[in-house]
Amino acid sequence: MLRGRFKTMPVGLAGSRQPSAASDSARNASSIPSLRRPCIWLPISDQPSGLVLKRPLVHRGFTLLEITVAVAIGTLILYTAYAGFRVSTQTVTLCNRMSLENRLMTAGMLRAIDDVDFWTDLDREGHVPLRTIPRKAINGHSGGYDPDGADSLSLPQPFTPFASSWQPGLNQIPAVSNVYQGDWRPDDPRTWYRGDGFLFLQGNQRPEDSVWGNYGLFSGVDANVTHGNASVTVGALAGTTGVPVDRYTFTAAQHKGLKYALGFYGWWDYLPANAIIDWSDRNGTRATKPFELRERYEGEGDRPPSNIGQFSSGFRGIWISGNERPQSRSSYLWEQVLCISAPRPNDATNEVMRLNRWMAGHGDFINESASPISVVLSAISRPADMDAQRPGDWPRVTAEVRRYKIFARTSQDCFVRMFDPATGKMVELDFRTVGSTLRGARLQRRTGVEGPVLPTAATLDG
Amino acid sequence: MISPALHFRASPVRGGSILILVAGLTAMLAVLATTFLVRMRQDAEESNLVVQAGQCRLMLHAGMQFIQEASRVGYATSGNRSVEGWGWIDVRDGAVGPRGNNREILRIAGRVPAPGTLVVRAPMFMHKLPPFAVVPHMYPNQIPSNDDPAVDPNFDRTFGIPVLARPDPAPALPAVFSTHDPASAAQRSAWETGDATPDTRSLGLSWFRVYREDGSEAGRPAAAGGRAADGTVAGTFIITVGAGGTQGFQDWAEVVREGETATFGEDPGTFDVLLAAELRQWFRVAWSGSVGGAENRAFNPLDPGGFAPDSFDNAYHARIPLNSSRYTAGGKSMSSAEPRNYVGTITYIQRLLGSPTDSKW
Repeated sequence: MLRGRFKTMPVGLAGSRQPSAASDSARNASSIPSLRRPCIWLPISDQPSGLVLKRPLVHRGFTLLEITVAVAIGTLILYTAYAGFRVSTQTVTLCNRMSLENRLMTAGMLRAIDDVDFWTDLDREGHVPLRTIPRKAINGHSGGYDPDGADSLSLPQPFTPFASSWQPGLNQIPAVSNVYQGDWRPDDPRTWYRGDGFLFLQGNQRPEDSVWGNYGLFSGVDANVTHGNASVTVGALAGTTGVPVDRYTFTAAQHKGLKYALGFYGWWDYLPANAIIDWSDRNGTRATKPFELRERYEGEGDRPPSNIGQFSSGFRGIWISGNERPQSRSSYLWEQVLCISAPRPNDATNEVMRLNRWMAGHGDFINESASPISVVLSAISRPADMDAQRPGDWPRVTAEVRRYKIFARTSQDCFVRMFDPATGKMVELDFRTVGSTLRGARLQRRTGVEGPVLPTAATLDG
Repeated sequence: MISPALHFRASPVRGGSILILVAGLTAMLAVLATTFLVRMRQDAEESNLVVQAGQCRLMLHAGMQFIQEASRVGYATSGNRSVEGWGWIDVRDGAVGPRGNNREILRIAGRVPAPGTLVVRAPMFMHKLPPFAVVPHMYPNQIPSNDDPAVDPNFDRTFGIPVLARPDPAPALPAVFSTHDPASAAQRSAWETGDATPDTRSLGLSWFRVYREDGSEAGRPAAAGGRAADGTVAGTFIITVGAGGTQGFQDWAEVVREGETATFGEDPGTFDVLLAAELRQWFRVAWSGSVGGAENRAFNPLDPGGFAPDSFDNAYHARIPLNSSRYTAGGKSMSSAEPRNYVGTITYIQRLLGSPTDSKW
């Protein structure tokens, strides 16, 4: 029977009166291990030896101060643990977010580089806006373009195959040069320029006044041309005195073909670095330089459509009305801009399609009050969503490539942007790189097959 | 007397609770830290793809510059320093080049870079000390500005006085030469030679190789151009670029053929591992003997002050086609005769969809 005898019980810390030191010592000697356990001394009610142990009147516990300190320390520990855990989870969440952003930016950068190389932003499977079916010829002298650009889809665009865009007989292209011939070797006499590159720059000279001769007059297939209010024979040598028939017509024929087939950007893209542009077209009264070299496009809203690209007679220096002079591709790109892009959805005026075929400039370029480059860069901006089906809280990432030529350089500017819906921040990565040129992109593609494919058959260039 | 506190600490039940609590928190933190590190590692690996893409683009530049320069320069020898190439397609007569002044066939690294052959395999790395290196010191002859005699007792003879006391630029010499001696033949020889030992930090990063097409390549478009006067395809190249450690070898078989197995520890498995981690891209480019020009508004060497070359409106020389006019002003040509480019141009670049199927690259 346990009742009435001391008994150790591991029941907790509630305090009770403890035995004397002697009995405690004896007990400890027999049950030392029990001392290591929490215990409580219970009194015996029927004490025969006279030793009366009273039931303790006061149960000793922690004092208020102890409890307060213990609670405070415990709270501090719990809060620290909670705070540490919370900071850790927030850090991981933030890292995950940054990781996601970095991955999307990385994907955007690689997408932009791929676009630079494969031009899939302009011509890919299911999206070939720049492959048109040409139905309209243009006039070498006056151009004949629709001022509002409504004929853009009737004209060749940069990914239109040569098979349908190199038009026989266009602007007096001789039959012998009726195909694109990409090897303009310096040793080939057909590529030589025999005129003077500084023609018409002094004394308001007209072509007819040049003492060095007007080489461009010899570029057509007609033996007779009318200029200076007189009809003169200029083509008598062609094919009649041992001179190959295309000796004087080759470069003009190639220029004309490229100009019509590709537009300005493509034309310049295909030309050799030092190609000189100089030929004459007929308007019935006199021979003039081709329309596109005399006019330029100044951007939507910049000038009335009827006056697009018209060089003003108020210009000083070499751009006075005698601008019908030989030029090189690099010198024409002096502050003029060429670009290439696909049309925007619902683009009523086909502005970009027109830009593909035109040189862009600005009427006030002399004083650099405004640069055409800003107009062009805005017009050709086509950011594409990396993932239109993304979750709502994911950042939106766009990638785009802007292709243009200025200062005799070809530029492919890549823009990768990230918009974070949670914070509203925008991060932009802007870089330029080199990659496939338009000619290279056309060699990647085959007629009738959308996008870049293994060119196991004829390409867009044949 | 046993204190309650001692009893408390001695309780195995409570000790276990604390241990479990601490262990649990530690485990959670460890899991979070591990997850974080794994994610960061994944991100780093994915970012490496961007680095590799950048390396490949640099190699494309390097490959094109090699093609341009090898069309004309790099053939001089110590015995004949006037050897000069006349283009991959000779600009004089349209023959297949590069040929020398006397129309002799030129070689690159002892081999004729004929169409249908590999022109160069170029693993890229930095030399420890390139030949003819100069010290990147912006101002080796700065004007003495200290007028404290305690610092410079001779300040009264140097303060504020610009003198060319040191060569500018100064040659970068091997460490064995502690002091530059312009009269030292040994130093000059060491300066000319440099130290071609690869800088290990730059090894295994990138390479390019150039194959010269002959028209027989699988999938080569008929309109790819690059034909010489006799119709031979000679002006187009396949540039293969890589970011990785294979040093530009096509495969292990080529390593064996070239006798370079020791480079990979005689182990094809090592090569395969490097190959698997490598990014490769292929480009077709066409070289032309045409050179550019007339694109620099300030380029007016013959008339530096007469026509306001810094004003683009009047910078005639920036707009007149290169070397195209006999007009003069003040006895000077109105058309620049000095192009900035003497090594031809790249007329187009075509990224290939993948590795050429016939291993001709």
